[in-house]
Amino acid sequence: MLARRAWGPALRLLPFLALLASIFWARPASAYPWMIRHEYQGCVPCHADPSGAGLLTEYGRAMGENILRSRYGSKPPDEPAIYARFLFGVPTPDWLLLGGSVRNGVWITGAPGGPFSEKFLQMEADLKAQITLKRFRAYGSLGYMHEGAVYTQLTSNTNGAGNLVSREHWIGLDLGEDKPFLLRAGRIDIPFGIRNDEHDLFVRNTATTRTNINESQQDGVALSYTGQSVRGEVMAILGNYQVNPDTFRERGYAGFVELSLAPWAAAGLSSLVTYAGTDIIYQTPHTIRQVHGLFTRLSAPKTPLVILAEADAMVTSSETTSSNPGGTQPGMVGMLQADVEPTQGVHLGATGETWVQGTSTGTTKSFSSYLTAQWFFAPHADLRVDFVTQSLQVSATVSPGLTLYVLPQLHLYL
Amino acid sequence: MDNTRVRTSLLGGAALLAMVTFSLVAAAKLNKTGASSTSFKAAGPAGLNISGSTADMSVADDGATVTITVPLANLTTGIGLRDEHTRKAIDVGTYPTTTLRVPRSALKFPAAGADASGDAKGSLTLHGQTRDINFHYSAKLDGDTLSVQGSSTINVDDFGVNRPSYLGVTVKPNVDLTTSFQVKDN
Repeated sequence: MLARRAWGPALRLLPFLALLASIFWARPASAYPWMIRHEYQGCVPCHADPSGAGLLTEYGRAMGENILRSRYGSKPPDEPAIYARFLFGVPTPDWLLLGGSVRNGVWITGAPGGPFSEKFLQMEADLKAQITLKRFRAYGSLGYMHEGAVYTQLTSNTNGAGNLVSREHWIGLDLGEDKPFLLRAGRIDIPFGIRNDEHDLFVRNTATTRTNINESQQDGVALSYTGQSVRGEVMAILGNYQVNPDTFRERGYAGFVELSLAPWAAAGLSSLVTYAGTDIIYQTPHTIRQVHGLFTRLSAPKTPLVILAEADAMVTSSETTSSNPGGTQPGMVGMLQADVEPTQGVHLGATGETWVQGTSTGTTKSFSSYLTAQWFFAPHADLRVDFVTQSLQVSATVSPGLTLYVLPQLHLYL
Repeated sequence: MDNTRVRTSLLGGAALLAMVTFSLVAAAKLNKTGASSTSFKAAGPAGLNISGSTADMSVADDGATVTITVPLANLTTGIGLRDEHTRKAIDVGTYPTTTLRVPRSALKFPAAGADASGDAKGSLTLHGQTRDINFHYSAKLDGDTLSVQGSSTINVDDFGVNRPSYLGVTVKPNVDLTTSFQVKDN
């Protein structure tokens, strides 16, 4: 559990340190918003979570076999292969979904012209389950993190000494004749923007946005709707009860709505407002965090190209004290991503993003570009390599520093 | 007085010309030309949308009935296995085409350069079963080429289609159909 720390001018660096830490330490379970290329705009058929990511349904496992991975010329079987099941073949009753995700990587980083360093990253080792009894559901995840994902910890070992984590755990009630609504309470992914597994993107992971599926989950009550042309979710945020003391817990709301414009196009808007007695990252008193934005997913018809874009305006305000300049700091994050699948199972991606942040000493401007290759090369498995150039400006009075890194990683889902 | 008579004559002449043109178009036989597309949009539970299309089509016109025939063998949905399930559901091996027959008298044909649209009733054969359906259409005549679009919603249960169901995800019975094609008047 986390303890409150002293404030100080150096805390202005904390948002950037938090961003770097999250890049280093984890990458959570998979969410693939580019599945819109197959006209899968909603997440429900494949995921237990109506807003996507995490535990797969039986249908989702079959899609993993049929349309996600390389098939090397073989046709997908009419009935799902046995090895598509949990742990490559364990049968489960209809009322039980079991799954898991293991992801590890090597972080190779350095400045241009400088030496490069390597670090092994244990990114995720989670087991997940959902029990369904008629309209009632109970969902939980339990994992181990050697370091990182500190806001998901169940145990209180120091960071780097290994901790049990739980990113999600909730109970839910399916509502409506075709169950288009899910009302749930517990620890839930924040419903906001494009839900992807690239949790280190600025749109998901600045100290103000905090909407990634690695460790941004909060406890609360959420109602989701998935229809033929509209889907969305709104959540009353009651705080993260895996951090202490209560002053760090945020209360507020988050939500998104996405409209299907065509089988190959969707657009949506998101909004989030929270209040904390003390912000856990900025360490500022009486802090209000606001993020409001637009996003879109476009699949160019009859081409292997998908475009994802999101832009969010941010405002953080806090009380002025002797140790905190307070006031209101506006900001903006934006992301544009192209994903091309030249042949089934192989993805080539390019992402550009920007983060403009007002601070008490001026405006900082940060940029990143990603070149990504990802190969779903076998059942339950994918390899991914990101080549990243990042220019992070940590203070308005300091020139931005350029960092290069390469992040190869292996992901297995159980 | 003379001016009024002249205006009346001109109006009468224009109306006669329009009627003659309309009758000629209506009396002509239609032959398909250019590209065509026929698509369906089906829904599954919880927002799942499935759409498919084919470019194959023929149009026949015996002067009394317009018959649109769509071969289904090349109907594609973007996912190979789903194509197979779709073809299996409508038993393309046994029933390789779907056909819409519409009396010409039920259709409004536009004058040259003009649009026409309306609702009409036709006879749709799918999966070996024939049912009357209502559809909406619009048409525009450019030169001797008529561009036609039509749409309808059918209940595939009425046609005895065994709706695809895959791992608990079952297609709903109401399916939207749309078609577009061009025909020439000969």
